[in-house]
Amino acid sequence: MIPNHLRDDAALYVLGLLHGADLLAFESELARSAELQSVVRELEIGSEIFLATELVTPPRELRTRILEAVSAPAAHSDPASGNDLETESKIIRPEIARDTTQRSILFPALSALAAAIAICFAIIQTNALRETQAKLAELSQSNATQTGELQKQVADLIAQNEQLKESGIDRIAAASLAPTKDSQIRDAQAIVVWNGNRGVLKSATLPLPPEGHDYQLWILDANTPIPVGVGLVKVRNVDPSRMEFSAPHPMPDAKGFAISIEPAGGSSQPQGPVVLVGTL
Amino acid sequence: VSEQAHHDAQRAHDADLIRRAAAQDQSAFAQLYDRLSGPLYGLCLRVLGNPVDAQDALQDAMIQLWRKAGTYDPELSSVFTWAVRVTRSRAIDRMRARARRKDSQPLEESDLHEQRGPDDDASVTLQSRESAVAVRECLARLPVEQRSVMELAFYYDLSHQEVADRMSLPLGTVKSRIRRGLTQLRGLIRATGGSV
Repeated sequence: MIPNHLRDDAALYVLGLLHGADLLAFESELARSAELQSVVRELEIGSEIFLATELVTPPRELRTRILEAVSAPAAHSDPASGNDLETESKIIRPEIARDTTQRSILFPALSALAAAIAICFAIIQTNALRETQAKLAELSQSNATQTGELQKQVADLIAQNEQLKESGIDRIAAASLAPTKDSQIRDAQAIVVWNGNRGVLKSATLPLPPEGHDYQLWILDANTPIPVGVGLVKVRNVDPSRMEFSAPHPMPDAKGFAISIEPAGGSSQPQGPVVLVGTL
Repeated sequence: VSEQAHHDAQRAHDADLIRRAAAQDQSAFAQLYDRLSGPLYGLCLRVLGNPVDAQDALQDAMIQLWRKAGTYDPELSSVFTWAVRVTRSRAIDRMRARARRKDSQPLEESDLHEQRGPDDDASVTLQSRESAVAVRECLARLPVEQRSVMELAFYYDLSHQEVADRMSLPLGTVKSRIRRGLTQLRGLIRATGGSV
Protein backbone atom coordinates (compact mmCIF):
# COMPACT_ATOMS: atom_id res chain seq x y z
CA MET A 1 0.00 0.00 0.00
CA ILE A 2 1.47 3.30 -1.06
CA PRO A 3 1.12 5.97 1.65
CA ASN A 4 -0.68 9.16 0.69
CA HIS A 5 2.36 11.38 0.99
CA LEU A 6 4.13 9.26 -1.64
CA ARG A 7 1.07 9.41 -3.88
CA ASP A 8 1.12 13.20 -3.51
CA ASP A 9 4.80 13.24 -4.41
CA ALA A 10 4.03 11.06 -7.42
CA ALA A 11 1.62 13.73 -8.69
CA LEU A 12 4.27 16.42 -8.22
CA TYR A 13 6.81 14.16 -9.93
CA VAL A 14 4.80 13.66 -13.11
CA LEU A 15 4.32 17.43 -13.37
CA GLY A 16 8.05 18.06 -12.88
CA LEU A 17 7.48 19.81 -9.55
CA LEU A 18 9.87 17.77 -7.43
CA HIS A 19 13.43 19.02 -7.14
CA GLY A 20 16.72 18.37 -5.38
CA ALA A 21 16.73 15.94 -2.50
CA ASP A 22 12.97 15.37 -2.78
CA LEU A 23 13.42 14.27 -6.39
CA LEU A 24 16.36 12.00 -5.55
CA ALA A 25 14.51 10.37 -2.68
CA PHE A 26 11.37 9.85 -4.75
CA GLU A 27 13.22 8.35 -7.72
CA SER A 28 15.06 6.05 -5.36
CA GLU A 29 11.74 4.81 -4.00
CA LEU A 30 10.26 4.65 -7.47
CA ALA A 31 13.07 2.47 -8.81
CA ARG A 32 12.38 -0.24 -6.27
CA SER A 33 8.59 -0.14 -6.00
CA ALA A 34 6.51 -1.60 -8.81
CA GLU A 35 3.40 -0.39 -7.03
CA LEU A 36 4.65 3.18 -7.02
CA GLN A 37 5.58 2.86 -10.70
CA SER A 38 1.99 1.88 -11.34
CA VAL A 39 0.74 4.95 -9.46
CA VAL A 40 3.05 7.15 -11.52
CA ARG A 41 1.78 5.64 -14.76
CA GLU A 42 -1.81 6.34 -13.81
CA LEU A 43 -1.03 9.92 -12.84
CA GLU A 44 0.90 10.43 -16.07
CA ILE A 45 -2.37 10.03 -17.93
CA GLY A 46 -3.82 12.89 -15.88
CA SER A 47 -0.71 14.93 -16.55
CA GLU A 48 -1.02 14.41 -20.30
CA ILE A 49 -4.63 15.53 -20.15
CA PHE A 50 -3.68 18.59 -18.11
CA LEU A 51 -1.01 19.54 -20.65
CA ALA A 52 -3.28 18.80 -23.59
CA THR A 53 -5.55 21.63 -22.49
CA GLU A 54 -2.84 24.02 -23.60
CA LEU A 55 -2.02 22.24 -26.84
CA VAL A 56 -0.86 24.73 -29.49
CA THR A 57 0.83 23.77 -32.73
CA PRO A 58 4.12 25.65 -33.02
CA PRO A 59 5.05 27.36 -36.30
CA ARG A 60 6.31 25.07 -39.02
CA GLU A 61 9.61 26.94 -39.30
CA LEU A 62 10.42 26.15 -35.66
CA ARG A 63 10.36 22.45 -36.50
CA THR A 64 12.79 23.07 -39.36
CA ARG A 65 15.02 25.20 -37.13
CA ILE A 66 15.19 22.60 -34.38
CA LEU A 67 15.81 19.67 -36.70
CA GLU A 68 18.56 21.62 -38.45
CA ALA A 69 20.12 22.40 -35.08
CA VAL A 70 20.23 18.76 -34.04
CA SER A 71 21.64 17.70 -37.40
CA ALA A 72 24.59 20.06 -36.82
CA PRO A 73 25.44 19.46 -33.17
CA ALA A 74 28.63 21.53 -33.29
CA ALA A 75 27.09 24.93 -32.72
CA HIS A 76 28.63 27.78 -34.61
CA SER A 77 30.09 30.29 -32.23
CA ASP A 78 29.24 33.88 -32.90
CA PRO A 79 32.22 35.89 -34.03
CA ALA A 80 32.93 38.99 -31.98
CA SER A 81 31.84 41.23 -34.78
CA GLY A 82 31.76 44.31 -32.61
CA ASN A 83 35.48 44.14 -32.13
CA ASP A 84 36.23 43.66 -35.79
CA LEU A 85 35.27 47.17 -36.72
CA GLU A 86 37.37 48.63 -33.97
CA THR A 87 40.40 46.52 -34.90
CA GLU A 88 39.99 47.28 -38.53
CA SER A 89 39.78 51.00 -37.88
CA LYS A 90 42.90 50.85 -35.75
CA ILE A 91 44.81 49.09 -38.51
CA ILE A 92 43.71 51.41 -41.27
CA ARG A 93 43.82 54.73 -39.52
CA PRO A 94 47.58 55.11 -38.91
CA GLU A 95 48.31 54.40 -42.56
CA ILE A 96 45.79 56.96 -43.70
CA ALA A 97 47.14 59.51 -41.22
CA ARG A 98 50.73 58.92 -42.31
CA ASP A 99 49.75 59.10 -45.96
CA THR A 100 47.80 62.30 -45.34
CA THR A 101 50.77 63.95 -43.68
CA GLN A 102 53.08 63.17 -46.62
CA ARG A 103 50.63 64.24 -49.26
CA SER A 104 49.61 67.39 -47.43
CA ILE A 105 53.11 68.79 -47.97
CA LEU A 106 53.05 68.16 -51.71
CA PHE A 107 49.39 68.46 -52.64
CA PRO A 108 47.30 70.83 -50.49
CA ALA A 109 44.02 69.89 -52.21
CA LEU A 110 44.63 66.21 -51.64
CA SER A 111 45.66 67.05 -48.13
CA ALA A 112 42.26 68.61 -47.49
CA LEU A 113 40.55 65.55 -48.95
CA ALA A 114 42.64 63.27 -46.83
CA ALA A 115 41.80 65.35 -43.79
CA ALA A 116 38.12 64.95 -44.60
CA ILE A 117 38.61 61.21 -44.91
CA ALA A 118 40.45 61.21 -41.60
CA ILE A 119 37.51 63.05 -40.01
CA CYS A 120 35.15 60.43 -41.44
CA PHE A 121 37.25 57.68 -39.93
CA ALA A 122 37.34 59.59 -36.67
CA ILE A 123 33.53 59.71 -36.72
CA ILE A 124 33.39 56.02 -37.53
CA GLN A 125 35.78 55.31 -34.71
CA THR A 126 33.74 57.44 -32.34
CA ASN A 127 30.62 55.54 -33.29
CA ALA A 128 32.45 52.26 -32.83
CA LEU A 129 33.63 53.50 -29.46
CA ARG A 130 30.07 54.38 -28.49
CA GLU A 131 28.88 50.96 -29.57
CA THR A 132 31.64 49.35 -27.56
CA GLN A 133 30.72 51.43 -24.52
CA ALA A 134 27.08 50.45 -24.94
CA LYS A 135 28.07 46.79 -25.14
CA LEU A 136 30.23 47.18 -22.05
CA ALA A 137 27.30 48.74 -20.20
CA GLU A 138 25.10 45.87 -21.36
CA LEU A 139 27.70 43.33 -20.21
CA SER A 140 27.98 45.08 -16.90
CA GLN A 141 24.21 44.89 -16.45
CA SER A 142 24.27 41.25 -17.47
CA ASN A 143 27.01 40.54 -14.90
CA ALA A 144 24.96 42.23 -12.21
CA THR A 145 22.00 40.10 -13.25
CA GLN A 146 24.08 36.92 -13.12
CA THR A 147 25.43 37.90 -9.71
CA GLY A 148 21.88 38.34 -8.48
CA GLU A 149 20.96 34.95 -9.89
CA LEU A 150 23.94 33.30 -8.18
CA GLN A 151 23.03 34.95 -4.89
CA LYS A 152 19.49 33.61 -5.23
CA GLN A 153 20.84 30.13 -6.03
CA VAL A 154 23.09 30.26 -2.96
CA ALA A 155 20.11 31.30 -0.82
CA ASP A 156 18.08 28.43 -2.30
CA LEU A 157 20.89 25.97 -1.62
CA ILE A 158 21.17 27.16 1.97
CA ALA A 159 17.42 26.72 2.37
CA GLN A 160 17.57 23.24 0.80
CA ASN A 161 20.45 22.34 3.09
CA GLU A 162 18.40 23.35 6.10
CA GLN A 163 15.54 21.21 4.83
CA LEU A 164 17.92 18.29 4.35
CA LYS A 165 19.18 18.65 7.89
CA GLU A 166 15.63 18.70 9.18
CA SER A 167 14.73 15.62 7.19
CA GLY A 168 17.76 13.74 8.53
CA ILE A 169 19.17 12.87 5.12
CA ASP A 170 22.08 15.27 5.22
CA ARG A 171 24.51 12.39 5.33
CA ILE A 172 24.60 12.13 1.57
CA ALA A 173 28.10 11.30 0.38
CA ALA A 174 29.62 10.17 -2.87
CA ALA A 175 32.29 7.63 -3.75
CA SER A 176 34.15 7.50 -7.03
CA LEU A 177 34.90 3.93 -8.07
CA ALA A 178 38.07 3.36 -10.10
CA PRO A 179 39.71 0.22 -11.52
CA THR A 180 41.81 -1.80 -9.08
CA LYS A 181 45.47 -2.45 -9.80
CA ASP A 182 44.74 -5.88 -11.26
CA SER A 183 41.41 -4.96 -12.78
CA GLN A 184 40.52 -6.57 -16.08
CA ILE A 185 38.90 -3.35 -17.18
CA ARG A 186 41.00 -0.23 -17.22
CA ASP A 187 38.78 2.51 -18.54
CA ALA A 188 35.58 2.06 -16.54
CA GLN A 189 34.36 4.52 -13.94
CA ALA A 190 31.43 4.63 -11.56
CA ILE A 191 30.01 6.91 -8.92
CA VAL A 192 27.91 5.98 -5.91
CA VAL A 193 25.75 8.53 -4.09
CA TRP A 194 24.91 7.20 -0.65
CA ASN A 195 22.88 8.35 2.35
CA GLY A 196 23.71 5.63 4.87
CA ASN A 197 20.77 3.48 3.86
CA ARG A 198 20.12 3.85 0.14
CA GLY A 199 22.22 4.74 -2.82
CA VAL A 200 22.43 5.31 -6.53
CA LEU A 201 25.17 3.87 -8.71
CA LYS A 202 25.99 5.45 -12.03
CA SER A 203 28.57 3.73 -14.15
CA ALA A 204 30.04 4.73 -17.47
CA THR A 205 31.92 2.70 -20.08
CA LEU A 206 31.47 -0.53 -18.18
CA PRO A 207 31.94 -3.31 -20.77
CA LEU A 208 29.72 -6.37 -20.91
CA PRO A 209 30.77 -8.94 -18.27
CA PRO A 210 32.31 -12.24 -19.44
CA GLU A 211 29.77 -14.79 -20.61
CA GLY A 212 28.06 -16.56 -17.71
CA HIS A 213 28.97 -13.78 -15.29
CA ASP A 214 27.47 -10.61 -13.85
CA TYR A 215 28.83 -7.52 -12.17
CA GLN A 216 27.83 -7.33 -8.52
CA LEU A 217 27.91 -4.28 -6.25
CA TRP A 218 29.13 -4.58 -2.65
CA ILE A 219 29.08 -2.28 0.35
CA LEU A 220 32.31 -2.25 2.36
CA ASP A 221 31.38 -1.65 5.98
CA ALA A 222 33.62 -1.40 9.04
CA ASN A 223 31.08 -3.27 11.18
CA THR A 224 30.52 -6.16 8.80
CA PRO A 225 33.30 -8.75 8.31
CA ILE A 226 32.39 -9.52 4.72
CA PRO A 227 31.16 -7.12 2.05
CA VAL A 228 27.40 -6.84 1.74
CA GLY A 229 26.00 -7.58 -1.71
CA VAL A 230 23.34 -5.12 -2.85
CA GLY A 231 22.56 -6.26 -6.36
CA LEU A 232 23.70 -6.99 -9.84
CA VAL A 233 24.85 -4.13 -12.04
CA LYS A 234 23.11 -4.35 -15.37
CA VAL A 235 25.15 -3.05 -18.26
CA ARG A 236 22.93 -1.21 -20.68
CA ASN A 237 23.52 -0.28 -24.27
CA VAL A 238 23.13 3.38 -23.48
CA ASP A 239 25.56 4.69 -20.93
CA PRO A 240 25.62 5.66 -18.18
CA SER A 241 23.98 2.70 -16.46
CA ARG A 242 22.00 3.65 -13.38
CA MET A 243 21.13 1.46 -10.44
CA GLU A 244 19.23 2.23 -7.27
CA PHE A 245 20.01 0.02 -4.29
CA SER A 246 19.31 -0.30 -0.59
CA ALA A 247 21.31 -1.78 2.24
CA PRO A 248 19.63 -4.68 4.07
CA HIS A 249 19.88 -2.53 7.21
CA PRO A 250 21.12 1.02 7.92
CA MET A 251 24.89 1.18 7.42
CA PRO A 252 26.00 4.63 8.59
CA ASP A 253 29.62 3.44 8.87
CA ALA A 254 29.97 2.21 5.30
CA LYS A 255 33.48 2.93 4.09
CA GLY A 256 33.11 2.37 0.38
CA PHE A 257 31.86 0.26 -2.48
CA ALA A 258 33.24 -2.33 -4.85
CA ILE A 259 32.13 -4.05 -8.03
CA SER A 260 33.28 -7.58 -8.75
CA ILE A 261 32.71 -10.12 -11.49
CA GLU A 262 30.62 -12.99 -10.15
CA PRO A 263 28.97 -16.08 -11.60
CA ALA A 264 25.68 -15.23 -13.33
CA GLY A 265 23.03 -14.37 -10.74
CA GLY A 266 25.55 -13.14 -8.17
CA SER A 267 27.14 -14.56 -5.04
CA SER A 268 26.41 -14.34 -1.34
CA GLN A 269 29.95 -13.10 -0.79
CA PRO A 270 32.59 -11.93 -3.28
CA GLN A 271 34.27 -14.75 -5.17
CA GLY A 272 35.39 -13.21 -8.42
CA PRO A 273 37.88 -10.47 -9.13
CA VAL A 274 37.11 -6.95 -7.94
CA VAL A 275 37.23 -4.60 -10.91
CA LEU A 276 36.18 -1.27 -9.42
CA VAL A 277 36.55 0.06 -5.89
CA GLY A 278 36.15 3.40 -4.16
CA THR A 279 35.85 4.86 -0.67
CA LEU A 280 33.48 7.44 0.74
CA VAL B 1 -8.33 -1.04 -19.58
CA SER B 2 -8.20 0.08 -23.19
CA GLU B 3 -7.21 3.57 -22.10
CA GLN B 4 -4.35 2.18 -20.04
CA ALA B 5 -3.36 -0.07 -22.92
CA HIS B 6 -3.41 2.89 -25.29
CA HIS B 7 -1.25 4.85 -22.89
CA ASP B 8 1.17 1.96 -22.40
CA ALA B 9 1.49 1.52 -26.16
CA GLN B 10 2.16 5.24 -26.61
CA ARG B 11 4.66 5.13 -23.79
CA ALA B 12 6.51 2.20 -25.37
CA HIS B 13 6.51 3.91 -28.75
CA ASP B 14 7.92 7.13 -27.26
CA ALA B 15 10.59 5.15 -25.43
CA ASP B 16 11.57 3.49 -28.68
CA LEU B 17 11.80 6.87 -30.40
CA ILE B 18 14.02 8.35 -27.68
CA ARG B 19 16.22 5.24 -27.73
CA ARG B 20 16.67 5.70 -31.46
CA ALA B 21 17.29 9.41 -30.99
CA ALA B 22 20.03 8.53 -28.51
CA ALA B 23 21.62 6.59 -31.35
CA GLN B 24 21.52 9.79 -33.46
CA ASP B 25 18.45 8.79 -35.46
CA GLN B 26 17.14 12.18 -36.58
CA SER B 27 13.97 10.81 -38.16
CA ALA B 28 13.00 9.26 -34.82
CA PHE B 29 13.64 12.60 -33.14
CA ALA B 30 11.49 14.33 -35.76
CA GLN B 31 8.64 11.93 -34.92
CA LEU B 32 9.13 12.66 -31.26
CA TYR B 33 8.99 16.39 -31.97
CA ASP B 34 5.72 15.94 -33.85
CA ARG B 35 4.29 13.96 -30.95
CA LEU B 36 5.39 16.30 -28.14
CA SER B 37 5.70 19.79 -29.59
CA GLY B 38 1.99 20.71 -29.30
CA PRO B 39 1.63 20.34 -25.53
CA LEU B 40 5.19 21.48 -24.86
CA TYR B 41 4.78 24.63 -26.94
CA GLY B 42 1.47 25.30 -25.21
CA LEU B 43 3.26 24.95 -21.89
CA CYS B 44 5.98 27.43 -22.96
CA LEU B 45 3.36 29.89 -24.22
CA ARG B 46 1.42 29.69 -20.99
CA VAL B 47 4.53 30.24 -18.86
CA LEU B 48 6.17 32.93 -20.99
CA GLY B 49 3.19 34.63 -22.57
CA ASN B 50 4.68 35.43 -25.95
CA PRO B 51 5.46 33.32 -29.00
CA VAL B 52 9.06 34.49 -29.49
CA ASP B 53 10.19 33.47 -26.01
CA ALA B 54 8.06 30.33 -26.16
CA GLN B 55 9.68 29.22 -29.41
CA ASP B 56 13.16 29.87 -28.00
CA ALA B 57 12.33 27.91 -24.84
CA LEU B 58 10.94 25.01 -26.85
CA GLN B 59 14.04 25.00 -29.04
CA ASP B 60 16.31 24.94 -25.95
CA ALA B 61 14.29 22.10 -24.48
CA MET B 62 14.19 19.98 -27.64
CA ILE B 63 17.92 20.34 -28.17
CA GLN B 64 18.48 19.32 -24.56
CA LEU B 65 16.25 16.28 -25.08
CA TRP B 66 18.29 15.36 -28.16
CA ARG B 67 21.60 15.73 -26.35
CA LYS B 68 20.44 13.92 -23.19
CA ALA B 69 18.40 11.22 -24.90
CA GLY B 70 20.88 8.58 -23.74
CA THR B 71 20.21 9.39 -20.08
CA TYR B 72 16.46 8.79 -20.27
CA ASP B 73 15.42 6.01 -17.88
CA PRO B 74 12.18 4.28 -18.93
CA GLU B 75 11.78 2.74 -15.48
CA LEU B 76 11.29 6.12 -13.86
CA SER B 77 8.85 7.94 -16.11
CA SER B 78 7.37 8.24 -19.55
CA VAL B 79 9.20 10.25 -22.20
CA PHE B 80 6.34 12.74 -22.01
CA THR B 81 6.84 13.30 -18.29
CA TRP B 82 10.59 13.63 -18.78
CA ALA B 83 10.10 16.10 -21.63
CA VAL B 84 7.63 18.15 -19.60
CA ARG B 85 10.13 18.39 -16.76
CA VAL B 86 12.90 19.56 -19.10
CA THR B 87 10.67 22.02 -20.97
CA ARG B 88 9.08 23.56 -17.90
CA SER B 89 12.52 24.05 -16.45
CA ARG B 90 13.74 25.82 -19.62
CA ALA B 91 10.66 28.01 -19.74
CA ILE B 92 10.93 28.96 -16.06
CA ASP B 93 14.64 29.75 -16.49
CA ARG B 94 13.80 32.03 -19.39
CA MET B 95 11.01 33.68 -17.43
CA ARG B 96 13.36 34.36 -14.51
CA ALA B 97 16.01 35.81 -16.83
CA ARG B 98 13.43 38.03 -18.45
CA ALA B 99 12.13 39.18 -15.09
CA ARG B 100 15.64 40.13 -14.09
CA ARG B 101 16.01 42.21 -17.21
CA LYS B 102 12.89 44.03 -16.04
CA ASP B 103 11.31 43.85 -19.44
CA SER B 104 8.81 41.24 -18.42
CA GLN B 105 5.32 41.95 -19.58
CA PRO B 106 2.46 40.69 -17.43
CA LEU B 107 0.57 37.87 -19.00
CA GLU B 108 -2.60 39.27 -20.53
CA GLU B 109 -5.36 36.75 -20.76
CA SER B 110 -6.57 38.29 -24.01
CA ASP B 111 -3.09 38.00 -25.56
CA LEU B 112 -2.94 34.42 -24.54
CA HIS B 113 -6.17 33.56 -26.24
CA GLU B 114 -4.84 35.32 -29.31
CA GLN B 115 -1.67 33.24 -29.27
CA ARG B 116 -3.47 30.02 -28.53
CA GLY B 117 -6.05 28.56 -30.77
CA PRO B 118 -5.02 25.55 -32.74
CA ASP B 119 -7.87 26.56 -35.02
CA ASP B 120 -5.62 29.25 -36.45
CA ASP B 121 -3.24 26.65 -37.77
CA ALA B 122 -4.39 24.71 -40.76
CA SER B 123 -2.02 21.88 -39.97
CA VAL B 124 -3.93 20.95 -36.83
CA THR B 125 -6.12 17.98 -37.51
CA LEU B 126 -9.81 17.88 -36.74
CA GLN B 127 -9.17 15.05 -34.33
CA SER B 128 -6.62 16.99 -32.29
CA ARG B 129 -8.93 20.01 -32.30
CA GLU B 130 -11.76 17.90 -30.92
CA SER B 131 -9.42 16.35 -28.35
CA ALA B 132 -8.27 19.78 -27.23
CA VAL B 133 -11.85 20.93 -26.81
CA ALA B 134 -12.72 17.77 -24.88
CA VAL B 135 -9.82 18.05 -22.46
CA ARG B 136 -10.44 21.77 -21.90
CA GLU B 137 -14.01 20.93 -21.02
CA CYS B 138 -12.71 18.32 -18.58
CA LEU B 139 -10.38 20.83 -16.97
CA ALA B 140 -13.23 23.31 -16.71
CA ARG B 141 -15.27 20.69 -14.86
CA LEU B 142 -12.65 20.30 -12.16
CA PRO B 143 -13.50 22.08 -8.91
CA VAL B 144 -12.04 25.56 -9.16
CA GLU B 145 -9.92 25.12 -6.03
CA GLN B 146 -8.20 22.10 -7.57
CA ARG B 147 -7.70 23.75 -10.93
CA SER B 148 -6.27 26.89 -9.35
CA VAL B 149 -3.76 24.96 -7.27
CA MET B 150 -2.59 22.95 -10.29
CA GLU B 151 -2.23 25.99 -12.49
CA LEU B 152 -0.47 28.08 -9.85
CA ALA B 153 1.98 25.31 -9.09
CA PHE B 154 2.69 24.37 -12.67
CA TYR B 155 2.62 27.52 -14.75
CA TYR B 156 3.97 30.02 -12.27
CA ASP B 157 7.35 30.08 -10.65
CA LEU B 158 5.98 29.41 -7.19
CA SER B 159 7.14 26.85 -4.65
CA HIS B 160 4.54 24.58 -3.08
CA GLN B 161 4.82 26.65 0.09
CA GLU B 162 4.22 29.86 -1.86
CA VAL B 163 1.13 28.34 -3.45
CA ALA B 164 -0.05 27.28 0.01
CA ASP B 165 0.54 30.76 1.38
CA ARG B 166 -1.19 32.44 -1.53
CA MET B 167 -4.25 30.23 -1.17
CA SER B 168 -4.15 30.12 2.63
CA LEU B 169 -3.96 26.36 2.61
CA PRO B 170 -1.81 23.86 4.50
CA LEU B 171 1.10 22.57 2.38
CA GLY B 172 -0.23 19.03 2.50
CA THR B 173 -3.56 20.16 1.09
CA VAL B 174 -1.85 21.79 -1.87
CA LYS B 175 -0.07 18.54 -2.72
CA SER B 176 -3.14 16.37 -2.26
CA ARG B 177 -5.24 18.71 -4.42
CA ILE B 178 -2.73 18.41 -7.24
CA ARG B 179 -2.93 14.62 -7.00
CA ARG B 180 -6.70 14.57 -6.84
CA GLY B 181 -6.84 16.96 -9.80
CA LEU B 182 -4.76 14.66 -11.96
CA THR B 183 -6.76 11.63 -10.87
CA GLN B 184 -10.07 13.36 -11.58
CA LEU B 185 -8.90 14.56 -14.98
CA ARG B 186 -8.26 10.99 -15.92
CA GLY B 187 -11.67 9.98 -14.65
CA LEU B 188 -13.39 12.80 -16.53
CA ILE B 189 -11.72 12.02 -19.84
CA ARG B 190 -12.59 8.38 -19.35
CA ALA B 191 -16.22 9.33 -18.73
CA THR B 192 -16.32 11.22 -22.01
CA GLY B 193 -14.91 8.17 -23.77
CA GLY B 194 -11.98 10.23 -25.00
CA SER B 195 -8.25 9.82 -24.87
CA VAL B 196 -5.30 12.13 -25.10
